[in-house]
Amino acid sequence: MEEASASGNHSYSGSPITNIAQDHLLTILLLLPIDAIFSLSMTCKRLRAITSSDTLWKYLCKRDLGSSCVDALINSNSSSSSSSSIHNNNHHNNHHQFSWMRLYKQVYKMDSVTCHRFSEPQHGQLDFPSARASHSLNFVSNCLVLFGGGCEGGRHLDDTWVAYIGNDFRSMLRWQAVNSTSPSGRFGHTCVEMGDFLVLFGGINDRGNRQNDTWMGQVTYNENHSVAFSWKMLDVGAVAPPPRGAHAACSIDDKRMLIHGGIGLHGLRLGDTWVLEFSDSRCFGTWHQIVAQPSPAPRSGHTLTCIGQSRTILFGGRGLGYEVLGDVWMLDTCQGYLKWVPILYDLQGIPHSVSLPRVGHTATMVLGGRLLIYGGEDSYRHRKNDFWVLDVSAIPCTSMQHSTMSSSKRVKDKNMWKRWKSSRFDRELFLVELVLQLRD
Amino acid sequence: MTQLDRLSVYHWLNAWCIKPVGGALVRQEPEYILLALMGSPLKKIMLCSSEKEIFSVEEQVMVQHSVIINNMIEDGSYNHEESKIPLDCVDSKTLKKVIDYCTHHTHHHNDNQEDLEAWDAQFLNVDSNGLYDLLMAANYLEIRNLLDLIYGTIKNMIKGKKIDEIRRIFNIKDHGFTPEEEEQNRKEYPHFY
Repeated sequence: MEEASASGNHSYSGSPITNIAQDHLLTILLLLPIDAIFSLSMTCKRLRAITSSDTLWKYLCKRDLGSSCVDALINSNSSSSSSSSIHNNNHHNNHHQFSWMRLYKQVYKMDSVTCHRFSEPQHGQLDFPSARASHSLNFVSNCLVLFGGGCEGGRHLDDTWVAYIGNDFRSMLRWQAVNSTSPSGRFGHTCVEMGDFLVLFGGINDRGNRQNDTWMGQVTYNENHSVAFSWKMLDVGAVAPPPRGAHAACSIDDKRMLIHGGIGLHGLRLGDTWVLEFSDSRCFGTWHQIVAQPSPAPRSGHTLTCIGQSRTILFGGRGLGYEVLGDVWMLDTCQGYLKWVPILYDLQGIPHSVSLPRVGHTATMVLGGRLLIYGGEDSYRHRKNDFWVLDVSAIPCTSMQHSTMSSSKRVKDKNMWKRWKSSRFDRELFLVELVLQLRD
Repeated sequence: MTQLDRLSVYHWLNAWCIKPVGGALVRQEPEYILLALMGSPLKKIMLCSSEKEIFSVEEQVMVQHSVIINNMIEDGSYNHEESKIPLDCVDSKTLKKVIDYCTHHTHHHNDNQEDLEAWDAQFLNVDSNGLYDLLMAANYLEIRNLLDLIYGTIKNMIKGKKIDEIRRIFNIKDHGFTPEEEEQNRKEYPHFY
């Protein structure tokens, strides 16, 4: 529509921005948050047309949902749309049945989950891990890996189990016990996926001793397609965080793992932050402490989750006075230094908000950089079975560079916390699936 | 040494020159190394605006920033002794500003980030017509960092603003919606206006 008009030609019909060529506008739009794009779409007719371009929304999906998600959607859609040939008048997007704008809206309007219970083998037929709590369960290299935990009577366990599931969650779960050197028995440890490895740290044994050793685990596939798992203690040198259990940990990139807090020696709750940095070969690692003010208060049973774009969220837990916490903190890890920023929110505007603070819950990153929080217990020691979604990007201003003295972000938007509906959730092992409608 | 050789040496030196870190290392300006090696004066080139005004500027400054000018000089279509580069798409006022930008960034690239950002901010303190002219010029001359800077500035002019404000800033007098459409939008999304 426009040629790049000559600069110095002052016969603009009103505003230069509507005269800017499309590719400039698209570049600028991709720098803007969604609410700004929405504002622009209501500013004038030309901008409405440009902001409806499905190409723009495809790039926005890549930006906010991730390229791997977008590529997976394109692939799965093209393979399952053989019946679209009659209506195929879409030249540049073959077999493209859904609109990217609609998909984006769907992802952010998502408000429910379904839970699928894994089918178990009959008792006595196959090995199955015994009941336990405060264990670690991870999905790595297409397998579920379970380690340790505590069983009846407060005894610790030191068994490792692995089960291949791949992408087929409907098949029967076949657990295999792992016979290899393993970390000593413990519960309240953390086990974090880092690429193809699992990194285990800390934990408490049944004599009450806190640990601070670090272990690496890896799934190996044998020639006969059977699955094995092996543990190796990681050489971290002389410096390690004080021993602890019930701390929080997560990987912040493919080389670093973050831990915070937990219950240390003599039962004291800790509030320190440590980073483990791996060597390129993953043969050794170095721990160093992050000292930053302000910093989340000491606590245990809380969660740390990386939500992409170098941001990590800390939530909940039980503090020094045994009170159950509901505060949210964000750690920005892309700058040279790591800094904690408290995210303050108003409980008033959130329905059911009284049930937000919790300890011993899980927090997982889901589509769109949001945090899915489930379970745990509240200050009345009631077990929770509700799903909450925390959307940190709903905060109006998230410019980390300008954090100075008033380094907290107050949320005005009531969309930060949302409770999701769930169905069919009882106990044992479940896969939680986000409900997303691509087609009518 | 031919002109082409000199340019290659310049680029090579540029790639190998080290930025100072904590004052420990000192960057050698490639131009001065060239001078030391070859003892020739810094070459200047002539840029001609749409208003036929001639601007003389150091070759290295423009070559570092503008892909278009770099290409013209590399493929030898520019003859130092008599040519000038005609830039019919850029008026004098804008061309002067572009040269200003490139010169400052070449000579001050050792400055710390905050100072550079402050300079950029006051450099772009122009009205939206001027901003538009700069955008067109930076696009035409393919000056990547100036383009990115302008994109960032426009983004900041839009981000966090209500619709009425955006219309005012960008001088959008006629939004093109029917009165019914406009009223509907205002009713449905009052907090955006």
